[in-house]
Amino acid sequence: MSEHEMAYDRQGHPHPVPDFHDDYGGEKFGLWVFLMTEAMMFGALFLLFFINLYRHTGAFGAASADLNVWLGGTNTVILLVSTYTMGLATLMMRRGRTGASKRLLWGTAVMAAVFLGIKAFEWSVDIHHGIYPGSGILDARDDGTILFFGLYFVMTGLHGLHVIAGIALMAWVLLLIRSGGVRPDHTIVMKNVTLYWDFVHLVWIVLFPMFYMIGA
Amino acid sequence: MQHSAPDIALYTKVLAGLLLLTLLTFVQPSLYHMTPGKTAVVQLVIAVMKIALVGAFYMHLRRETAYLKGYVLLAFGILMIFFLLVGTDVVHS
Amino acid sequence: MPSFYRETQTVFGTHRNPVLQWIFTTDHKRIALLYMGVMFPLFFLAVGAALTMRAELFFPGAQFLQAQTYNQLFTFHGVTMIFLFIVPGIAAALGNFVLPLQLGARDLSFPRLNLLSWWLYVIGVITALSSLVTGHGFADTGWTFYAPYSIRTDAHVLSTLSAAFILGLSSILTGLNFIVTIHRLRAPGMTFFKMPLFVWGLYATAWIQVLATPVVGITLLLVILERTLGVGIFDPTKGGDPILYEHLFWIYSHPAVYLMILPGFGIVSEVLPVFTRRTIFGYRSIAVSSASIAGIGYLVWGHHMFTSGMSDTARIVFSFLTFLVAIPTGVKIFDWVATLYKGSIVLATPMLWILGSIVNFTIGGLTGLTLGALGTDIHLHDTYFVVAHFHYTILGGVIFMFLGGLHYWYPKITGKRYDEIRGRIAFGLMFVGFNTLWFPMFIAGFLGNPRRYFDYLPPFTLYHQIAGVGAVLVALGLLTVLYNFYRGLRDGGEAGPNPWNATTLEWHIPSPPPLENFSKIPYVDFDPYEYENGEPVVQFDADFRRVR
Repeated sequence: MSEHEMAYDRQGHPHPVPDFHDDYGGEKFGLWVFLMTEAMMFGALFLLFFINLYRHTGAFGAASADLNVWLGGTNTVILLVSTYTMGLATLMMRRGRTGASKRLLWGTAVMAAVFLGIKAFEWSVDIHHGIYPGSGILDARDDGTILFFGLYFVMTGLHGLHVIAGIALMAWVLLLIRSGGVRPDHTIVMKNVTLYWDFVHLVWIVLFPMFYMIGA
Repeated sequence: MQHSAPDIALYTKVLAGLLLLTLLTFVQPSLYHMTPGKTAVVQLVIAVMKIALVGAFYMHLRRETAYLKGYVLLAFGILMIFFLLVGTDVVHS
Repeated sequence: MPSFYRETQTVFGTHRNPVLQWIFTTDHKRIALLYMGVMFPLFFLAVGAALTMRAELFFPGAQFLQAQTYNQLFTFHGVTMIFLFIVPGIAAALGNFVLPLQLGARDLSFPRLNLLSWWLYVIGVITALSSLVTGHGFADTGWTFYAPYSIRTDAHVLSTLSAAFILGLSSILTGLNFIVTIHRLRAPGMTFFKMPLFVWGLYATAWIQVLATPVVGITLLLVILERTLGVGIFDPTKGGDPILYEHLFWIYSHPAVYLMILPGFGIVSEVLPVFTRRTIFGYRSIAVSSASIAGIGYLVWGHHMFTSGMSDTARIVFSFLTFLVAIPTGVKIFDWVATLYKGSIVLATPMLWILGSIVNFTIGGLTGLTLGALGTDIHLHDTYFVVAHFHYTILGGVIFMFLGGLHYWYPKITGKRYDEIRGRIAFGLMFVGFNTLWFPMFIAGFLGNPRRYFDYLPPFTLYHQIAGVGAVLVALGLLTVLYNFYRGLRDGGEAGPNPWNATTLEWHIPSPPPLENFSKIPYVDFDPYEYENGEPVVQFDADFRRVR
């Protein structure tokens, strides 16, 4: 289909027909709708968190103090800087600076991997101490503590899955840059991956203080 | 789509703002020690400011169409209604 | 141009094998048929489960089923009917086919995503049905999977839960696709308030799919984690709260019923103008009411939980909000009746189904108000009254509307005509059978007959036996529909582009449509249902330029 297909009104004036094969606005809108679904999903988890925080405030505070603020904080800064580099990467691509764009994209992916590494380390420490869902040690604690750590593992786990998906998407974009699917005049895929990555960061912006800072 | 230098400068300024707010996130409990509940509220306020910065500038919501902004607010509003109604039940149980 | 049955586009290059040309197609029309091909056999499977239960319940006492088997049967019936059939429902089957046609587009915005939606649906179906033959048998929790029983039961709940999650993803992607398509691919000149009302119905539905489904998705995922890892969020022994499960489950599942009915309402609004030979009354108010039902529908879920132990404050709030949601539906019914007034009514088969659905849905909707009132609900909750209410709205409403839509668009999809007499007989059997089956259940429930029980007290016997007779008539009616459609395919007459003399864009292209739908995209500067003296106003020439 030619992208300049026209429809003609009764006076004979032409009007451009939208073409779904190449619809920058549509593809961006589609990603925003997807992000809204993700917001509802994480939103439901936050709802459960806040209810349990309300019901077990003391226990949540004490359990929160058990988490390592330095590790979580480092992760926060890493993720924040990675969204900066991701945004710059897309900006560079739009300006035709493909080399700079690729380097920034690599940098973002590396930072994301470091984030995962630190998170995995945190988890392993907890698991080593017997604190994980279903463990005898955790189930012997009070209800508030069980719920806190249950939500902690589920929510950071789900967030971590999204980080992994983000890295996969960045790898895909790098491949597309090589094949020409992403190029200075056709950046929608990269733009959408950037939006997705921003969203992953948004979730962490709420997750970090709620789990790490309330007991500090 | 603008293709001019201010874009990088804008991203960097927003980064600085976000880093500042993150610093605040870390030090707030030691500056003003409160109960976990009240700390959560203050931390949420800071988080909302960060979300506003990221949403407006990194995700370019400011430049988007009115209906997209409307739908994002709609989704958020519906989520808040869930919080409100379930919260009402929990608080009154 | 050859029809879409002769040529197609596929996602991975081209294929000679016709099966691959179907299962890898990106053409929205073929994908619609792919959905139907899986959905309809599942529907009949679930009907079979229902008939089995009715047979067991024809007399009090155990006839041939054990209690546990009965629990699995009603769970299977519910899960299949709801997650596997009616949630994809009208939107996936008819919406996929008709939406681009009514908008004047060549396909949806994301055709490959559409195919992915279908594949996810198929994977979900296989996962759900697998538990029939694996583990400790099919789930016995009811389709609602209430905690803590769903955490404890031995039955194979994991595969049903996983299936529901996958199916939810399929639904979300379809909704996303429809939303973007409606925003981006309307023909030039077609503003939002020039869209056909079926499109409005699909649009409101799509927003529900997109915003509500994720909540149940994560909730079911949490139950999976509870069962496998022991997380503790809904488990009372770990401080969890089963009422929170109910809240999150119904936050989706109530809007889900609006997701089922809104496309059906859209079909009613499509069919009525055609068979009253005049424009619909109150187009704008019907369009806005679709959006209002979707919106207010997010606020009422607590009415499923009046007896759960929810706080009094919450119960009063939800009861009030539930009464509100009846208002936009009332607006629609008023507009439809006003359309009928002084119209030239043609009682063709699609019209019969639609009129029947309005009658059934009015009864179903009014009984919903009875259930929405706190005092009466305490008495009626978990009785057959509730079961009759939702069968009146979903079977008497949605399915009747679905059948009306299938009969209406059958000529467009197949290019053939079915037999009108046989169509009317099928409708008669279904209408009489349906009311015979379900009306007694209002009374039985009111008198105290509980639901989801494998047996009942002898005083209720007559009601179950009348219902049993109704069930047989319903089955006969459904079989007659099937047979009618089959005969239409085999030796029905040729339909031509516009056998109903209708006005919306899909009736201006050949039946069945070619691959790219329109040879030229028309410019739309007219309302969707313009009739003058019973005839369509708008005419196009061969180049899709408007001549009248």
